[in-house]
Amino acid sequence: MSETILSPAGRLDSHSAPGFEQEVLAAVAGGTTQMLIDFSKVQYISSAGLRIVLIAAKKLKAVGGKLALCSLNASIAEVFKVSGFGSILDIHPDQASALTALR
Amino acid sequence: MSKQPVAILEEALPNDLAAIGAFAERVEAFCAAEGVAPAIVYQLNLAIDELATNVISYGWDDAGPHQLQIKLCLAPGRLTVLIEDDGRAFNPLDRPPPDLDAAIEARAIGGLGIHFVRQFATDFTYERVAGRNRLTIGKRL
Repeated sequence: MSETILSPAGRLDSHSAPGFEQEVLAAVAGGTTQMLIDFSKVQYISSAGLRIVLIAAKKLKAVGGKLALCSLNASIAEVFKVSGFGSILDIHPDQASALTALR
Repeated sequence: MSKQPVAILEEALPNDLAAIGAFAERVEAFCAAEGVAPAIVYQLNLAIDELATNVISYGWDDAGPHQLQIKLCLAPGRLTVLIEDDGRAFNPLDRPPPDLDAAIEARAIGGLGIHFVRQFATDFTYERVAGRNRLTIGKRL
């Protein structure tokens, strides 16, 4: 079991998503099975950012791992809800509860 | 007949994805000055981002510089966004809606951006006029 915490910052949009995708793929390629994406420094997410979260979820599921998310601001939480992702992803209010769920 | 006050923000954006975030900041400042609620501004910027990303990513065959025109009109009780470009004809309203209930393994991302626009908009129309795509998004406030 190998744990990685990713803390993207600012906007997760079509401009920044390719860089974040590389981070996610590098972590999985490096053997990560438990991944936490901490959204406390993310102000904004679009469908391009959600796409990377979905890629992370699929990759981790394929290796029997787990993905958790935490600290979404209210607007981002609403985007997850409207996209239907709120019900298929493991979303927590803070890092402590997310890490407890991952371990 | 008295005329209602209308505030307008109008810009030509280059076909560069980095321009969308910079424009979002100007939309925030414009809307804050007009007293639009932050939650609405987020959804507005999301709608503009999703549509502008589509145009910039798929609108033109060549890599040369192009522009899309964006105009926001804020009238009492109503917000209107116009987005125009001279790229290939593309009607985002033709896209099938995403399957929001699919499991992670089966879940596709396509169509989600347009779904966000539909959720936000009170009305949403596409026209092809004189070789240009014109999207109009209306929002009752």
